[in-house]
Amino acid sequence: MRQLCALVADVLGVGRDMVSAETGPLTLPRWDSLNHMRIVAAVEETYGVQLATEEIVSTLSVNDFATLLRTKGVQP
Amino acid sequence: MGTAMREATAAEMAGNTAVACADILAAVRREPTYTNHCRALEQLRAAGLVAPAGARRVALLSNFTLDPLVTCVTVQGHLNALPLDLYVGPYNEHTQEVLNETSGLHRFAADIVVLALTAEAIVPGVLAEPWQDAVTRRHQVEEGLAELTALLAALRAWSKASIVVANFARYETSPLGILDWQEPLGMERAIQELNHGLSDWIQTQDRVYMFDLAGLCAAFGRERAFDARMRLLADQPFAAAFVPRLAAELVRYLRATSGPARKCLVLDLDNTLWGGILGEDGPARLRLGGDAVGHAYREFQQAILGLHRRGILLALCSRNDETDAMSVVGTHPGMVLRPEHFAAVRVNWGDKVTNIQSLAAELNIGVDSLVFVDDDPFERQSVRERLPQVRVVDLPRDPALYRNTLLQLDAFDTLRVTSEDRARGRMYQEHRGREALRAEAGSLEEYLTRLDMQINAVLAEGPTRTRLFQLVHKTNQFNLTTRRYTEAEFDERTRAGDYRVFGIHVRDRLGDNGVVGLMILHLVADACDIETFLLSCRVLGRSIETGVLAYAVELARAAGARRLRGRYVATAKNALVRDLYEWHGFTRVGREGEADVWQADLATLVIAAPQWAQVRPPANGTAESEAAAR
Repeated sequence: MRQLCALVADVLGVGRDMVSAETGPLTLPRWDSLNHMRIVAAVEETYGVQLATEEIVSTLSVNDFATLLRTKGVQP
Repeated sequence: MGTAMREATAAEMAGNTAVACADILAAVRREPTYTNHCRALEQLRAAGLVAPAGARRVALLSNFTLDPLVTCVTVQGHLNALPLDLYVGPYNEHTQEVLNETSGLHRFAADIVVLALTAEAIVPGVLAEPWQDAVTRRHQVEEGLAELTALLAALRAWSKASIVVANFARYETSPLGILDWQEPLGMERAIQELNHGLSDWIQTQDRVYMFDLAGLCAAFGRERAFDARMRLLADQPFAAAFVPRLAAELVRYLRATSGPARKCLVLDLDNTLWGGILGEDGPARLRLGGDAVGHAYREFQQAILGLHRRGILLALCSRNDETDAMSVVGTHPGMVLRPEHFAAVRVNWGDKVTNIQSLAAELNIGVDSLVFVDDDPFERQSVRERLPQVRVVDLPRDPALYRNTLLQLDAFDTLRVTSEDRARGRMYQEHRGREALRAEAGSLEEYLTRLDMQINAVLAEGPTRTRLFQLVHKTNQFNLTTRRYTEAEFDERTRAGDYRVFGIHVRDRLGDNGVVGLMILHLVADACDIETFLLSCRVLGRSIETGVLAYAVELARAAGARRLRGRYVATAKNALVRDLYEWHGFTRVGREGEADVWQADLATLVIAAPQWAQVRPPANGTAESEAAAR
């Protein structure tokens, strides 16, 4: 989970202490729709997975990404 | 241009934040993933380095979301020592941006405008309704093309920027399947015809260049380059994994709008131009033609010959016995390159770094104009460390891959080839003829008289304009102010009434030297400023500069000026002309920033050019440019 938070922080250009499991578009203004796509690309690249369109739309926090990765057999 | 930018960046790199940035950029260079580009952009932003002073101003217009591309282009610009200040037009408003005079694009005053549209924006019907009859489809292609070229023409008319337009790539499988090419105008063919039409059109336009997006997508792989999810969710068609490559390729074009960065390819022999070591294997056992490995070397030589034909100088730098090695170059049936293709040769047992420096001196170019190719990693490392300005190419171990490595090299990137470029090899041969004539003639005066030079002022039109713009960016030594104009600034001077811009065309009994000089005069009140005065180093030592200054005096007087002013801005390379104005009777009147200002009173100034160096006015500008193009 710490690695996933760091990845999100780097891509958003915010301090790593700004991102926790609960962080999402509703809690962090920089997490807008453009940056959401950046996070998706970073997660796919880092964990070697591919997310379906519906999954991209409905994954709205770091925790959601972690849960999704586990369903794909990856331990974030 | 490349050089100047690189130096600027080196200076910036002195700052501490910049050092941190160098680390991030190194990470991107190692692993050019999209995520690393995003990380790098955020850190550049934090360090305040996103659009530093002096950055090239580039406007991007598109009918899709550009955010991922902008991220990667910004970072790639920094990686290539080409800092960019990017303007991104509002989403899908490219037409309004171009046509509306109060748009952000108009206000931005770009050096370069990039237009990247998907085929949907141009020929929606062709893609959406593949079953329409061919006549209707062809009509739609023609209409779409006419609309696109009209938009580009409008852009070109009001903006002085260079224009880079992406061609069109098919990003999904044709709805016609394997029927696609059986139909008279299938989807692939429709898109190709659009690209052909666009290509035909840009041939007739200066300042408009075509970015080969279709070729890049094919090289990367269409199925990997596009991502339907990105198109549906983010309104941009490219896969995240493709965007860094797309950005890197686009940056090549952005950089090349100011002309080629490097001039000369320095080549090793053993295991580079042929397989084997001449001193150990002997000429008969070299791998050159014959079998597959031998053919790999021949193919590599053919690619090098292509560069030579385009105007890149070739030089040899090899540890070998010169007589033995040049005998192979001259007589081996497998050789493609022959002695006449090499402008200079250093085949000896000496140190390569020393040899490279002396090659540059002989060819009258800076070491920063050189690209060094050697199979030996030790030599490469040595050159890299001791001559960091030289671009060193890492040859792969397998000679079968040499050719492609060279073809993919960006060091000689250019968007226009002039007739001078094509003729450069021949010019070097003629140069050797002049050297011989010089040896025959007793005195220098006698030689110059016998040379029978015809020096003509020529107007900056057509191919001459392209050549002059190239000289602006290439000339380092005989260059008083080394002012590197953008294409827009240059064109403005050719049109404005208070400027006089002319090139210098030189022909002599041994051949045509082409357009070798440029002067830009600026009339300011009662003064005439020599804003730019440059000459190619291949015509120095013939008093042509005196002839040109005498001609400038005539022009200035004719324009009613009372004073002629010249500036000298010292650079690392132009010490040659430091005292030029003094020699011609000017007086130093002060300093302006980095410039020494020299002045002469036109009522009393006398510049007497020798008989052989008289400059003739452009009798007929157009005829002259055509002569220059031949």
